Amino acid sequence: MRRVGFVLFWLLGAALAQGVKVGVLAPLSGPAAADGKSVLSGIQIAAEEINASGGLLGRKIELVVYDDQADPRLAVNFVRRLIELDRVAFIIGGSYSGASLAASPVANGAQVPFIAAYAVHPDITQGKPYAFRMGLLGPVQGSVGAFLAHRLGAKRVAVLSIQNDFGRSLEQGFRDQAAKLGLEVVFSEVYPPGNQNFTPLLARLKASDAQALYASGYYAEAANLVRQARSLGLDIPIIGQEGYDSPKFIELAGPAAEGVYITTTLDRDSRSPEVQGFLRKYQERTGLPADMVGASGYAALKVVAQVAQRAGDLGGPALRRGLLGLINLETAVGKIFFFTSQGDPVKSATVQVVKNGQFRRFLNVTDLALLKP
Amino acid sequence: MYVVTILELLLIYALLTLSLNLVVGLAGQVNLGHAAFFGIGAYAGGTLLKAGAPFPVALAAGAAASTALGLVLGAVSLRLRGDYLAIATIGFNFAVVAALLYTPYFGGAYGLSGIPRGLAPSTYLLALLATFGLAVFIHERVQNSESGYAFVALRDSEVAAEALGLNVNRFKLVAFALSTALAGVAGVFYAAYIGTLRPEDFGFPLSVTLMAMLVVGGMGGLWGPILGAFLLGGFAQAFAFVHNYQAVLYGLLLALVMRYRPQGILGRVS
Amino acid sequence: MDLFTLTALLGDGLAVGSIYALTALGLTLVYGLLRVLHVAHAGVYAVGAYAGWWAFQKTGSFGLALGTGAVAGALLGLFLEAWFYRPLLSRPPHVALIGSIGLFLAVGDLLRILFGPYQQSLPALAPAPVVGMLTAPQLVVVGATAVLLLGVYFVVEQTRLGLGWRAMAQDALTAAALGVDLPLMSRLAFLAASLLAGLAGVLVGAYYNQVYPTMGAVLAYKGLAIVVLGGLGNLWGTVAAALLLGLLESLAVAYLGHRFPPEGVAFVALILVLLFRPQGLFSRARR
Repeated sequence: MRRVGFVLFWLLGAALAQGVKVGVLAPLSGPAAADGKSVLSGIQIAAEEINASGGLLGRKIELVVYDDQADPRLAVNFVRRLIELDRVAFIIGGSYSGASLAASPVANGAQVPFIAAYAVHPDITQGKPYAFRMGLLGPVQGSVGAFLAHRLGAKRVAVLSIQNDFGRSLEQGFRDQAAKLGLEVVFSEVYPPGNQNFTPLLARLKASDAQALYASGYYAEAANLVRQARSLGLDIPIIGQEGYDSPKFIELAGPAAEGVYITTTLDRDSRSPEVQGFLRKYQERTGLPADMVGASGYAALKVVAQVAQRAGDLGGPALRRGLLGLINLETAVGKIFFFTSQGDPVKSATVQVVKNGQFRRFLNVTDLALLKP
Repeated sequence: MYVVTILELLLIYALLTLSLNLVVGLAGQVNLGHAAFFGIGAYAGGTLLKAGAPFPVALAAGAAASTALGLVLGAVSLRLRGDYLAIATIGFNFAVVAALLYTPYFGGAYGLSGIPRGLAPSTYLLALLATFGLAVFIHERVQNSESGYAFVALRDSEVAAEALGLNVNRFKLVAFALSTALAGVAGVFYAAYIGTLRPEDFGFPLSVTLMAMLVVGGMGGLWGPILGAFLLGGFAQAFAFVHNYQAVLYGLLLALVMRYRPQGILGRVS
Repeated sequence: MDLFTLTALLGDGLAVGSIYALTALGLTLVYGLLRVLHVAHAGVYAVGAYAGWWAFQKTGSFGLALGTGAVAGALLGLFLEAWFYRPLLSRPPHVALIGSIGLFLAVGDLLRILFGPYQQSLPALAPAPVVGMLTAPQLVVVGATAVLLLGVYFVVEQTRLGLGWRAMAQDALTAAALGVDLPLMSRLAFLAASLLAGLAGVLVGAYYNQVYPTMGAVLAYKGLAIVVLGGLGNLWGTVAAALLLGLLESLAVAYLGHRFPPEGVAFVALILVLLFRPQGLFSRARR
């Protein structure tokens, strides 16, 4: 009798020690592999931290990771796999907008919370109660950019946008706010993702007498843009966004990166021990300084974990309620004031500037008028 | 459900390889831009589905749009041979993607999202299976018909075919029309399947994938294209745990098959 | 348009055109001799770039980087010729083409697996203005290309090797009958083409300060367009088309922006050329 009891107890213990499966979709190969690697590192650091301090409601987090190559086709099948075969509690979407757009409706339909770490397309969360995001919406970031241009004293601005949903939504937000602030857009062009040669456009831009340049892109394009701008003698302030937010931007742009501003959500000069701890761990783990993408992955998992801990429940509906009920939570990527009913965060932003080869804080933005989508 | 989702995607790929086979395997015309027709059908059908049109209407629209452009490419193919045609089809693919990317009406860079299924899940599966069956039927009819023999004659020697009195041009156009109509239909099914379309999903890399499925499986016959579609399409799923090496394995597979068994796994040596 | 803008655009156009010329030259040389579209050429280019990057990291010498890139490219090219292309000569052309595309994909991904997906910097050329608004990288690229093109000219027009190439391109059977060693011509052509590709890779890597696994992709597609416009197999037509394209792109982008899809326009032009002037813009007779 005692033996049976012992075995049962052991089985119960084993059952309780069952991990919590958390799904992760990230581009680990293909064109977006760099960001995939970053976001996964961030998520892994968060998982380790949570497990080290007792796990999620006493259970260890097990990450189930699939490489979607930022391809919607792969994403849609992997998300089904995560839900039906792996039976994950929730999914962190670490991929780009295209893949996230395909995955979020599926997760939403199955009432499995899906949190896009940094993808910007509005439709990812639009009309999907179980889809959330950690990142700043494009238009919100754009308006912060216009605010900064105004702050820097520019009246005539040039806009150079990357031709995708990221660039478009940033430009929209920038233009709207610029109009309100009385800034004149004297030069406006787009360029395709992957473009390396900006010299022709920049040569003409220089002739337009703009006083500041608002240029969107990812770190590779941004590096070339900035380098070529300076080599043409274009000295005006350049304002980038979270696409620039990567140590690779500084490495590839070289000395031309000095003085470039970016609107983003990772404040390297934050006094929060959590942020500083993350920055240190990321550097130790990957050998590279952290970027916004990695920080977003980290924050996404931390936020859901905190919500689950408070709710005492890992079920989809409970997590959803918990997220919607969040008020004023400090994360590695800014202070989340609250989530909108669409699942988008209203949160603080920061402007960083490159000083001596590092991103440093220039100013923080907490004005809700600017930050509400 | 997960298995069904995979199966549906593979069926769509098989529709594409069969349609490609009509032009490449049977009529001997190189088409490295087939993804463009898939895309045109997807966008046409997807736009209609979003607007609330019934599924059959969307299917018809997708097929019609693709066929119209397919005839254009067919006409181009009348004047070009071999490598020139290959390059032209690549160019066509890029041109179509660029058009989709830069036309704001189709969503441009944002793409087209929020496309409804248009059919209940079980109905969708049945419709897809039925269409697949139809495609097989058409494929076999074409292959074993007079037109089919004409295609093969065309592929093996255009000059001889012409000498025998075959209206080479007519058959080329028919091949392109049938092929692109099927690709367009596949496109509509795909739009409903995935719900969100982007122009870059239908670019040259996909055309290469389709061509690869065809040549790896084996051109000319019926089962080769289907095998190729299921094999290479299922690749990503089967190798989910070797996810980091997908692209290199895929490329090597292509290169090795071409190097050592160019007729494909089920193909016949010409 | 003021003088500043004009020189900036000319410098840019020539530099970009030179890069196109170096890579497309190899592509058209191979096509002229073997009638095969060597898409994997872009893979050779990327491998050369990485080899040069590695050498620069170890030694800090740009010259050594260039040499390493050239040698690495040449070795890969020779291997591909022997193992892949020559055995497939008797097969229909799509076999080599598809396989070549597969090789290009595989090589690109292999580079990612070995070196990571991130761009690597090759800071050998500081982007500072040197003469007017011409920058150092531009001058280096244009200068290097000029030198290399002179070398190619000399080999093709003045040596027996060049003669053998031209004979083989014109009529392989007759050339063989006249004693030209076709396999040797083929090997040497790949050697030259791949050497140029490797060098081009290092130059571009330094020009944009970025070396990354998929850097060959754009050139793969543009290269095709250029060799068609220049005339498949026409060496100097290809060079002219390449330089022209570089200049046109520079001017067009400066004044029209990217409003018109660059690839779309290029490929529509390509299809038109194929339909109405398949020998390319610069060839005389129909091939």
